[in-house]
Amino acid sequence: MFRALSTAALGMSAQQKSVDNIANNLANVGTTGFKRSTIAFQDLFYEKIASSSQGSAVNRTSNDAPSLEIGHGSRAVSTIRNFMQGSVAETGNALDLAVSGSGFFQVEMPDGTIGYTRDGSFSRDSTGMLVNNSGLPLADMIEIPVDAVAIEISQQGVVTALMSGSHNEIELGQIELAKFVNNGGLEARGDNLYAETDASGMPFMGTPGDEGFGVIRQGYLEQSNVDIVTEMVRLIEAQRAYETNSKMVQTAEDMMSVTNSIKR
Amino acid sequence: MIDRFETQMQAMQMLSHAQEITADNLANINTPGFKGSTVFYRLLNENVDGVQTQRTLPMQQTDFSQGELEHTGNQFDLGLNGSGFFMVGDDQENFLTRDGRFRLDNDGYLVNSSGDKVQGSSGDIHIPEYFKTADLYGNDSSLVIGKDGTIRINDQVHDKIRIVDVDDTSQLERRGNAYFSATDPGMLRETESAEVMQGYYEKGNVVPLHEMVDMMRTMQMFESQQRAISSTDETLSASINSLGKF
Repeated sequence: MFRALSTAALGMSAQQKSVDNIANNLANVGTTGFKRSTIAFQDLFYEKIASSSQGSAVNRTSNDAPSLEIGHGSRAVSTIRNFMQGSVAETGNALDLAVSGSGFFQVEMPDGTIGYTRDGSFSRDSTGMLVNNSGLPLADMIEIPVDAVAIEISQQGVVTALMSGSHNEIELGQIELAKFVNNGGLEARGDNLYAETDASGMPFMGTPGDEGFGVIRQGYLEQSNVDIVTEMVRLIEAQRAYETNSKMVQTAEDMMSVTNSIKR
Repeated sequence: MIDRFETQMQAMQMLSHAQEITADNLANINTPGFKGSTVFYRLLNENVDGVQTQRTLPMQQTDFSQGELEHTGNQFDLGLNGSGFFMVGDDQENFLTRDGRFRLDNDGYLVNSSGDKVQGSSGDIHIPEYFKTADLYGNDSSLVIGKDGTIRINDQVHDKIRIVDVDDTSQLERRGNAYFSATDPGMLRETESAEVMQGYYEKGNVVPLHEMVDMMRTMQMFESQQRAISSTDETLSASINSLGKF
C-alpha cells in the first residue's frame, strides 16, 4: 500500500547482504590465500507518477503537470572479488609456496576438472604426491620419492630433490601457473578454490617468472588480503545505512497510522 | 467545503510520494553511480471556472553532483571525475551511466555488471587483442586507460571510451541500474571535461543527513495535513449538526 515501506525494506535487505559479506571477509582474515569481496548494488526501476495524480472534481488533469520518477529501492547484484596480492609470511616449511604475482596454482578436482588456488600450503600424501590441504593433487603431478631428504622449489617453479646418500639433486617436475584476463569473473568454490567461468575467460598457462605470472616463493604463504580497518569502515557504512532504512520503515509505518487516524 | 477535503487529500498523496522518493534515496546510499533526487514544492495559482485556487505541486530534481571516488585498484573500474556519462548499450538502446564497474566478457567486449556493452568512439569496445597480448606478455598492467578515456594496450592506442554530456540534465530520464536515458538523442554531446580515473569507481551521492531531515519534514507536513483534514471534518460536522438545531 505504501511504497516507501517496501523500498526501505529492500534497502535493508541489500545492506544486510553487505553485512553478511563483510562478516565472511572478517571470518577469513586468517585464511591463507583468501581474497576479499564486496557486494555491488544497483537501483531498481523507476515508476512515473503524475504529480497531480487524481482527476478531481475541478478537473485538474492539466498536461503540464510534471511527473515524479519514483524508484523502488536497491538490490545486491553481484559479488566483486578483489584479487590484490596479500602479504607474504615466512613459515619455513619447504612445501609452503606463495605466488608473488597474479598466477594461480592448479589442483585436480575429484571430478577431473582443474581448480585454481592462491593457497600454496602443500604437503606429501601417502603415495608421495604433492597435495593441497584438502588432499587434492597439484595438476603438475609432482611425486616426491620416499628417500628425498630435501626439496627445493626455485622461483621459476622447478622442483628438485636431494636424495639421501647422494650429493646430486634430481629434478622432479615443473610447477606451472595459470592466470586469467578477468580474475573477477572466477567462481569461488570454497576451500580456497576457484573455477573458471565464461566471465573469467580461459586460463593462460605459464611458468613462474614469466611476466605477469609472478614467481614462486618457497617457505612462504600468502596471507588473506582482507584489511580489517577497511572492513570495519565498510561495516559501519552498511550498519548505518541499514539503520537509516529502518528509520524509514518506522516513518512509513507512522504515516500509515496517521492516515488511519484521519477518521476518528 | 467538500473541495477542501479534495485539496488536503491531494496534499497528503503528494507528501507520501515525496517520502517514497526519500526512501529510494536511502535504499541506494551504497549504490555505485547512484544520483539522489530531491523534492521541492511549487505553489501554483489556478483559475478554475472563475475561482482562484492555490495548490502546491511537488517537483523532482535529480542531483547530479559528483559522488566520492573510491579506489579499488581493479583495472576495469572506472570513475568519472567531472560532468559526463559513460555510454552503455545493448542492441536496441543506449543508456548513460556513471557506474563504471566494468569487466571484459568472454568475447572480449568491455561490459558492465548487467552485461551491457560500453561504447567507444566507434561502437562497442572490443579488445580481443587483450586476450592475445595477455597470452604473449601476460602482463596485467599493460592495459592502461588514460584520463581522456583512451585505451592503450602495451602503449598502443586501441579505442577511446565515449564520454557524453548533456546541457540540461533535467531532460534525462531515470531508468534503474543507475542508468539514465536521453529523451532526445540530439541533446548528447561528446565532452572532455570529465576525467576517467582507472582503478576507481564512483559511489552514490546521497547525503544521509539531508535525507533524514527531508524524511522528518515530510512526516511533519503529513501529520499537519492530517490535522487539517480532521479540523475540516469537525467544522463540517458542526455546520451540519449544530446549525441544523436552529
